[in-house]
Amino acid sequence: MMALLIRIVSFAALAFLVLPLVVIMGSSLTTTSFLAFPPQGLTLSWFGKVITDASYVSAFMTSTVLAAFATVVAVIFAVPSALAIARYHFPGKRVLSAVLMSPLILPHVVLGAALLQYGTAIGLTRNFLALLVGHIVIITPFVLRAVLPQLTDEQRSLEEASADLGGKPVTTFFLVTFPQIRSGVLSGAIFAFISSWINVELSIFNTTADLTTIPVKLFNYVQYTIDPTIAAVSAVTILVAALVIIILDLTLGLDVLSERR
Amino acid sequence: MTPSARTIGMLIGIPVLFFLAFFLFPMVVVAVASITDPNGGLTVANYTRILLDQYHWDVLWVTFRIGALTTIACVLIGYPLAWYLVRIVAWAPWRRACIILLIVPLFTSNIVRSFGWMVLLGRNGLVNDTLQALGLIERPVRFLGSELGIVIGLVYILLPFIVLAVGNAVADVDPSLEQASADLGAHPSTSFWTVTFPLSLPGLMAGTVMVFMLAVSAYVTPALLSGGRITVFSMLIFQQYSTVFDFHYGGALSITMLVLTLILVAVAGRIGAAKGA
Amino acid sequence: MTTSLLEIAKLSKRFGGQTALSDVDLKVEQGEFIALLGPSGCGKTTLLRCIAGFLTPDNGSIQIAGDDVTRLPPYLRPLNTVFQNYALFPHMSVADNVAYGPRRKGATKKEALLRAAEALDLVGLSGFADRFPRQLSGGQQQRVALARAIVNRPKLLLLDEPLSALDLKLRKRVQIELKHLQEKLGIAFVFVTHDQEEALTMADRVVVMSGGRIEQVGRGEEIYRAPATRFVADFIGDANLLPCSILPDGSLMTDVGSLRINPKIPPKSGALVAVLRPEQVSLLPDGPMEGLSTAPAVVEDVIHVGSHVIVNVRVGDVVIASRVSGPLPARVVAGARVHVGFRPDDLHLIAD
Repeated sequence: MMALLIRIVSFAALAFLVLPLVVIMGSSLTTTSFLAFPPQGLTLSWFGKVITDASYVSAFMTSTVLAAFATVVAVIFAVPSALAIARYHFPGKRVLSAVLMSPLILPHVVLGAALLQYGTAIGLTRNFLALLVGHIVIITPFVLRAVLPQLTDEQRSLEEASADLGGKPVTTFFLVTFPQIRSGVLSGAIFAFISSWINVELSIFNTTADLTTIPVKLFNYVQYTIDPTIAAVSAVTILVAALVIIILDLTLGLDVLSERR
Repeated sequence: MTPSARTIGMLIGIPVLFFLAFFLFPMVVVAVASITDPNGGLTVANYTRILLDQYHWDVLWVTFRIGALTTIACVLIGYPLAWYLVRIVAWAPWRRACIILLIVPLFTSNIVRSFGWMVLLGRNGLVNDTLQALGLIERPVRFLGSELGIVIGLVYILLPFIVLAVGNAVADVDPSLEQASADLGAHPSTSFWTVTFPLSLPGLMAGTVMVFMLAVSAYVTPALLSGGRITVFSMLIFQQYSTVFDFHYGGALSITMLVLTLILVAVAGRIGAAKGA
Repeated sequence: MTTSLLEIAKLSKRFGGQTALSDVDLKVEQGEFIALLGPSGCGKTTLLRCIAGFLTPDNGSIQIAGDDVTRLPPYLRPLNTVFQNYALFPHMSVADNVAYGPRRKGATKKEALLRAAEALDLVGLSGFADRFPRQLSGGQQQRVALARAIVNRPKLLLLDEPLSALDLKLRKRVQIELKHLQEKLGIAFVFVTHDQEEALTMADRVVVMSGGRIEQVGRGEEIYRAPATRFVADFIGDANLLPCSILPDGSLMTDVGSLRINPKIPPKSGALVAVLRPEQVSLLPDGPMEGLSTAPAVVEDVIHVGSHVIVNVRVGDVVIASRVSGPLPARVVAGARVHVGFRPDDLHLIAD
């Protein structure tokens, strides 16, 4: 029976999806100093170790601040661009749209390499700003992609009505347009923030021993030793991700997260 | 509303300058570096080095093979899962839970996901232990440091993309078309292959191309699961910029990967247009 | 006794708390053109989908040519459907769309395309075989949907509001063409519509539905002249509905004066409603006339509708519409005092 086969494959796939997450979270609790799953004994000491480790705390701050700044700038770039693309005709509009969206499909390794080489020439490497610049480039498309579909033609006639009633462009934007695109800005910003936070391939080009993000720190660490510390940090990121998604589902509805929307 | 150049300028001026400065121009710099030698003269030596070196072809071939296997596995697992979620699941809360389960990995870092598989696929990891316990193998299988291990890791990361792409495509098929097919005498499986599947194809193809592109340009997962024994193309690029510091050669490698990606995008665009999507 | 082509017995269907169909009985004969008519939500589409097999009824049975098909899936039922949105396969050419049915039944590609060509001919789309649905107009798509359904020569064809998306002029033309086609092919049509003119024009028998029940089944003129229920009287055409009762002395009391008439049908006990069509109500500007039941009235509105005039008059508590063809006397304006009258024989009684 085809339906049965599909169910079997689906359940296997769902188990496949959850397995690594469960293993990571479980092995973060082990009392042994090596990774064990199922965990031998249960303890939160590894989490304690991470929270009290200054380098982890610093990396966490860097990741979060970087993502926050990058997201804010991405929104500031993407929303006016979306307005321009959706509402006006000008030469090079197609090119602009393509260029702004292209970081989505281009390999991060290539982008990172390009920024490193270019940065070396102008002295913008291995500092917060260098990281920030790269992150802004790769996350702006997420916001743009989420906002563009919300600037519909029906939307346009609302703006025209506002102008007709005497609203200046800036007023029209804040009172009429923005409320309509709010959910797109929000979902795009969330996607952008997360993408920045979890990024490795771009960040590794510009991190140093003192300036690093959690994902890069984990990446470097795991190549030398595997212990429950990494599992603990990873477990926290998994829990936070799950929390964010559940909150999103309860508030905006998960359709908003769908790749194509 | 008559667009004034000033309005448009104000809206897109800064983003455009930013992307010119920090996206397009760096690409140009890389492209230029790829055709110059350390003395500043123009040369194609970097590219000939790529094209003529058997080692590169091997790496490209391995990268391509891993990418293809990953993509095929994603489609074979992802289409049924998408169908299950869109067509078979009747109880909405379960569907939502499944979708959450699908997206949580997307919101965790590559490193975390790959790390999970490093633990699972180790010599004494859960997978080997279970296979031995079930009597399917006698000695532990080497997953880490094999292409299979990398494929497993990549499938884990890319599966959600296919499921979302196919899920949307299947959900967009007008149910009355399937009813018409049944009305005209088609058995449900015939209806699927002659009506539903062809109509889901554009979405499936878009997802497939995206997954393939991400698979061949992946860095973190292959780096961690290769155990130092396998090299993929992105690792070559990274080497040039982090250890060897040959920006000319690295530039040529980067441009090669870039061109490959753009070709794939163009192909995807062609397929999309041909199907009238 | 011959079995009807389609026999529906005691069919019921509920959706959650709503009853969509309630105890529906219906027989359709070979070659008949039946219209299922009613407002939205009356159950006509639900009934059609049960016959087609897209819905399974909760109770009752459906038989086609003597075989019980109630729980058969659609692809095993000997009938075809024309969908409201046409449901043409967008990724197949017109010819492949029409050839789909024959192919599924085992015809070779060549045979199927041949039969498709015949069917396209029948609906007047001969040159269109290689086009794709998105290249066709609404009317052309509708014909392809029809060709695709009839190419299989089904004994029974179901049509779900197939003309609702067409503009008025085109719709009228297609109505005539459909009727001719049906007569030519001898296929029984079950045609769902909310447009009573369409139903009355095309169908041999009309099934009027409301709230999941069949209100009345009959030929168009029967239903018009002698509606069985208040709903049918109100829904079909315009009607004046006059509550009335039978007086001890046998005469019928309506608001339009008290009348001494013998009711045409033995009245059931309980409330009665008398039905008078506007064209049966005569406007008598010069006073009562012999042979008619009359009553004094005051004109409320005069509405000119091109070919005729509707005059609404107030008689006691009730406003009655009278249809006047031909010229209207000048003194008939709002507020004028007139008489209205009707022939007692025209009065049709319904139990309320």
